Amino acid sequence: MQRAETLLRRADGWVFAAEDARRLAALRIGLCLLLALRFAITDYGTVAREPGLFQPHTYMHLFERMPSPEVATTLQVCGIVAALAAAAGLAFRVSLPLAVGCSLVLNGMLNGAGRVIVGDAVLTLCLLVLLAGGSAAREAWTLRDPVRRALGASGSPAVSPTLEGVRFGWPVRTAMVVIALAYFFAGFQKWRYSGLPWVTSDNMRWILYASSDSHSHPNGLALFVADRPVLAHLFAAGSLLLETLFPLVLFVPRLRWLFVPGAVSMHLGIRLAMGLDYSALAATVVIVFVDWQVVVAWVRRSVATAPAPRAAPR
Amino acid sequence: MFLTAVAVCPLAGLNPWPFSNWELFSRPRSDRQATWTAAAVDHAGRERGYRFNSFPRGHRGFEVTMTHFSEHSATERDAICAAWLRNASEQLGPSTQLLRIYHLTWLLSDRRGDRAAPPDRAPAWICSAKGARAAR
Repeated sequence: MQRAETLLRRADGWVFAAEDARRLAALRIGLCLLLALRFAITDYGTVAREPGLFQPHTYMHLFERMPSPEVATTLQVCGIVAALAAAAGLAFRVSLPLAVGCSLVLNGMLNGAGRVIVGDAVLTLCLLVLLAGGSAAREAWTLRDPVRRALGASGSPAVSPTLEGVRFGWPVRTAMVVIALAYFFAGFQKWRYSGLPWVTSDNMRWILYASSDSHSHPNGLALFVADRPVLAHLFAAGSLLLETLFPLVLFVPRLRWLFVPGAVSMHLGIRLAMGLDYSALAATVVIVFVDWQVVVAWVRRSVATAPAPRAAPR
Repeated sequence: MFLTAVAVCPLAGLNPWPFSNWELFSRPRSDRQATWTAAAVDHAGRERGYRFNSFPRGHRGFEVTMTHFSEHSATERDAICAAWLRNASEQLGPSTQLLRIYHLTWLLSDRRGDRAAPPDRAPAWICSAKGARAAR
């Protein structure tokens, strides 16, 4: 009992540790730009034209029927503008809730057409965490001050002091926990429903054969792996290990160098072999787990130490 | 609360989006496969394959719906059928009279080059203007 309490206290201390404001700002910029991109490239009009197939899920019960294509387009445009504004830290108290609201309705429509949109679920959950963090995410790396100055407002400091605090830390760490849990439970469910035969049986070969056969053109990569049982077992074992052990990245940060590229590679492999798009999930993992302030500092150092370009020879 | 919901949904098998049960390819697959397919029939009785998945996203619910189709009430089945038939008419023209829905079964290990051998096809349901009725 005392051990459990100690563990809980340590977990609490980890989640609510102080963090640099720029780390949270990087999450804001990355997640909101990704959301704007998802709005821009996803076709919501097709499901909006099919009111007969509408099977409401959870909050979509609030709508009597599938929103019309016109409503879907309006939400899409609103969502893009709001997400871009939120990424820039502009009108943040309005722009982020608006962008997340548009996302919930539009993705709810896609789910209502009979298919659970898993790829965007983690992005949405991380955005909800960002939303719960209030205005903390707009304290750094924002265009608010330049825009205010351009509009003629005065009184803004030219350089913001470096901020650090608990309110910048917990949203970042909660987003990390959400992603770690998502991967862990994807692995857990495989252990639960299939056990070791998920790896040792021909399960992966059947998945790949079935996927290739379901497309108009056979998939060479899927068939290459499916035709080689040993290779199929290796890929199955790799996926199951990566998913089950993913939470280790929370406790051993150095493992992020292994697990984050591993997860991105897995999603890329699934895309190439099966045509399933988990790019939103892969991008969310990179946005949340990469320490962007270190990347920015490294880029700045590299640019500063780069030799000045020489004049072109005449 | 939020993290509890993230953890409870997979354990309870709930899927209230954006929370998920994360049952991605978790059920064991077998060599034997089964699915559903539909064919549109015109005035002259000619049958033409109607591929629900040829349209982006919109009809992906076909197979999911068919898995539990017989468990729906007759009124619900009629409503679903009417929507599908209306969409088929819009896509293939007004001569579309009905949709025949078939249950397909095949073995993945039975390969013919890059493809599985053709499936066995059994008629299951007929969607007409009058609603849905079992084909057998």
